[in-house]
Amino acid sequence: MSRVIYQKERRRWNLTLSWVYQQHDSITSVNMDAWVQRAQSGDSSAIEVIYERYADVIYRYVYYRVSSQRDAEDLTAEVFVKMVEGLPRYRFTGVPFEVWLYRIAGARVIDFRRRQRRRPESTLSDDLADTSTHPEDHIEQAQEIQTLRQALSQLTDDEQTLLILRFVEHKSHQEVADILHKTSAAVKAMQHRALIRLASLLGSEEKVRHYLRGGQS
Amino acid sequence: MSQMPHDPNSLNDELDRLLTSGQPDSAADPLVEAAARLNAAPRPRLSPEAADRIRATMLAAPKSSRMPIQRYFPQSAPARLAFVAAVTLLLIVGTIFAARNTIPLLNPPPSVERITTLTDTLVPSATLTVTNTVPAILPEVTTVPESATLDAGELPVAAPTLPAPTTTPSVTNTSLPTTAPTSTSTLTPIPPLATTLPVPPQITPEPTLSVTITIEGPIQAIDGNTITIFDLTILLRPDDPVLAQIRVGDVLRIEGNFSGGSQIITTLQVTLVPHVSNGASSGNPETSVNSSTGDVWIDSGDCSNPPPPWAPAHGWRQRCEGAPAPGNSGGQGMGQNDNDDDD
Repeated sequence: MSRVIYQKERRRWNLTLSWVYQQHDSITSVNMDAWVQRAQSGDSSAIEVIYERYADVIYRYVYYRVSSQRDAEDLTAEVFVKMVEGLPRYRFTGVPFEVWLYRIAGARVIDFRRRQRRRPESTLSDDLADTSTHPEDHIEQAQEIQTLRQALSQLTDDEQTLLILRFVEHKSHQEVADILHKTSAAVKAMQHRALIRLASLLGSEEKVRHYLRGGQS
Repeated sequence: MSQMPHDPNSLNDELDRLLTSGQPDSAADPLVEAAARLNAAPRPRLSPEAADRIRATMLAAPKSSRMPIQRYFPQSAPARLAFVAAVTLLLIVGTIFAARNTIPLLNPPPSVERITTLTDTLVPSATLTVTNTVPAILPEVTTVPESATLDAGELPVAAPTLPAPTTTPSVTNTSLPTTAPTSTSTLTPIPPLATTLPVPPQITPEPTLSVTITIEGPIQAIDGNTITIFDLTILLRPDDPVLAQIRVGDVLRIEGNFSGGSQIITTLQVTLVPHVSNGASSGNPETSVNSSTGDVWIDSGDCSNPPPPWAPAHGWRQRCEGAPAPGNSGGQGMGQNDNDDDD
């Protein structure tokens, strides 16, 4: 009984912590550096704090790059396992810690896709299995997510990362440039190119062609 | 409706406005519209169960891949400095300690400097000291005696050079008349190692490391068993039978060991060289040697070789010029008052 209460309390605490991090996005680099240092020395509580801070962020990034919720969860687990294993080798270079996590996640996704080519494609059933107070909304959302995933999967890895970080995670183009190891101008050009392709893939091909001709009909 | 397409910079500005307000300014722009769809897309979150499962997986991840040096390496800057200083100090001390203990190993192959002292108890001895460098791993040193022939009239070389590559004889010859055989042996481990190898006393010293020379020439002086040839002092064995036969002027062929510093030779073999022409009844011709120049005069007995002014005639003038021998008043009637210079 006490164990159940403990787990409920812990879950509530974790949810609270996640909410705090989401409400105060500025609590990132400086504070996280201290937690990362403690995590490097083997402090499990520090590792948990880092996990609570970045679990959903990494999950969303992975979620839009793979075809099922279960795969996204498995890949998220892989990312954090790699993080724990790689923490002793992590070096503070002035780049936010999340950049390192995104790079691990990107590598995991690429590796996952390589493995996916050797086995059948998974379905959407996982995503639709989640319960909701408004089933219609949930189905509509799931269809939108699937459409976006399909379109994103036609882009390059860097373009996918750029669009997800820029418009799902609301990162500035400079933050995206840091994560992708590119200049700001290169990111802007890539963003322009990626959106042209995404718009075409989302069914606005004729509209895009018209737009690129300067709006002349 | 017409609309100019965005360039990357203007598009980025438009997208920044979209992300700030949540609403695109130009809904007709398909690029902004696509970005707006992404912006409005659901932002899924991990379910609590999934989050717990992932957390458990993460915390169970093996930590063995952590590098031990990082686990124990201090994190703060002062502690790191102290750690580096301590390690550096240890390295320096260790290097010095190792260098001190390995200096002999770093030197050229260990060698033994051997000093051989030869002492002859029966005759005034000559101490032959030979400094020789040989590899220490050799249990014994075998030296091939070098032989040198010294011809008559040739001045002996004070320090004969041994052609052996590792043998540089530094000959120190000190006359040490001793009554008891002495031999000392010292081995110093620090190179050059000095070892005095004992040599058992012998009547005829046969040093392991020696130079055999041959001298052939007239005897200048005889003093007991010591004779002088070409100003070289030569020690004969006291019981050498040749001692009873020789006299000043006799030509001897001597083989022996030469110690150049003091010009003393201990003999190994002595041979009395007979004269080609012997007019004397004793078997030896009359022979004189000029000690200052080394010139030799030999009375051949047939009056063909008159004595030089410095040589005693030994009756040559009486015999060959008819001069009477001193004190022989009843002789041939001539030269009665002849005062032969040296007879």
